[in-house]
Amino acid sequence: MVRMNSAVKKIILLQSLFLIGCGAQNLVIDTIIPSPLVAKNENITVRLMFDEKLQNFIFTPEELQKKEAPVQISFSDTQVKLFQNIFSSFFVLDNSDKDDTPRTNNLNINVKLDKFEYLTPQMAANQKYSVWFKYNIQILNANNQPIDNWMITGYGEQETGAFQDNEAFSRAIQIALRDTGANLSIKTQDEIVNIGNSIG
Amino acid sequence: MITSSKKSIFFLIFLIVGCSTTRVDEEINTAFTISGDESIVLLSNSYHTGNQTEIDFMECVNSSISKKQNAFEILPTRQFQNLFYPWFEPSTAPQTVEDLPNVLSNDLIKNKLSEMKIKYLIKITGQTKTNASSGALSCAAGPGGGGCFGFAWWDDTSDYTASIWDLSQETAVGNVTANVTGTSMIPAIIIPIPILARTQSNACEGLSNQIVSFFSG
Repeated sequence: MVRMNSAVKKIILLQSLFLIGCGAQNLVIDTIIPSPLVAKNENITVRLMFDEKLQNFIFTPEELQKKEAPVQISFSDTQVKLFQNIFSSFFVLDNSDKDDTPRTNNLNINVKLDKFEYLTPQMAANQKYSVWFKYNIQILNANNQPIDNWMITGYGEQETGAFQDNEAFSRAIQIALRDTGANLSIKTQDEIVNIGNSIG
Repeated sequence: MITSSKKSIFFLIFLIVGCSTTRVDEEINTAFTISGDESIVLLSNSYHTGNQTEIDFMECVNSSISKKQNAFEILPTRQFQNLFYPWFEPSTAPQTVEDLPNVLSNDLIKNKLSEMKIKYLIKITGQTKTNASSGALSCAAGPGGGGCFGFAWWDDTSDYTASIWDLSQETAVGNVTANVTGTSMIPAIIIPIPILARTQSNACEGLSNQIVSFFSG
């Protein structure tokens, strides 16, 4: 609640330099997205397919980024859970690989991470972390013929404020994932009637 | 005696706060009522539209309103957003009262609002900004000790508006504003003594008092 001017910030920064060591750090993202408040269509069964890169995505910064934020980000299965959570609120998910009860799919949905980008306070010369996700989602019928192709984005930002740098970064990523889920839900809600029509 | 005097001085240093000026305003558009089992919820406008209302300010107003009254319920913002996900997220929530019908035309949302007796949505906009700063403060440390010397000051303005929307009527019933300005300073002769104008917490106090008074009639 207290505003600090640059002089106070400099004192705190100077103190923190004595306390923090250098070196690459590992950030583990594990976030829970709420189930969307939407109507479920029990007549459509969907099989989700994820790009291999997305399933256990570990982001390693490039040489240029390492100077600004030497952080390796491990997403584990957070992204997979996000898409399963959203799509399972709209459709019946086909988990036949897991429970050995094969179903007849109406749809196949192919999810691919297209871009993950961020700006640190050092890069943007401000006091916040900004994070973007962009996913390519292909909607295919049971015969794997394309029905639609969606580009879903998510954006999150978090001011550094009282947070340690990595905590603010982690929060910005979680906000961006939550925003992705929100945008995907709205898109699916808008398209659900067309999807139903296209599969008969 | 000496120890107790030192403690008192040390304690007093923490009580020194800078001066600030608070101005609160209220505007009522239409008649409204709220009963004990009905709820309100606070939501800030999205950063997607350039709004920068701080999370800690929202938490402060939420907690301050629930402590100050028991005439109605207040549903915490995050809980509300989780229950109504994805319809009140920063990128999807209605930004103006004209956007309300788009969201409320969804029966699932309307029924859940009615079931949970959420009657008013209060949209908060605004932020705390530093307008001007000046002075210099330098600190040094060596083997024999360390200290600071100098004087720094800055002006903060906390300006917030709460727009109160009736979710059943889909109209704005009124606005409450709080504007607080203050000057903070840090004189330092060996030890820096921060004298801070707590404009944001004063704005939180002013805005929540005014919202409570708004609903008290």
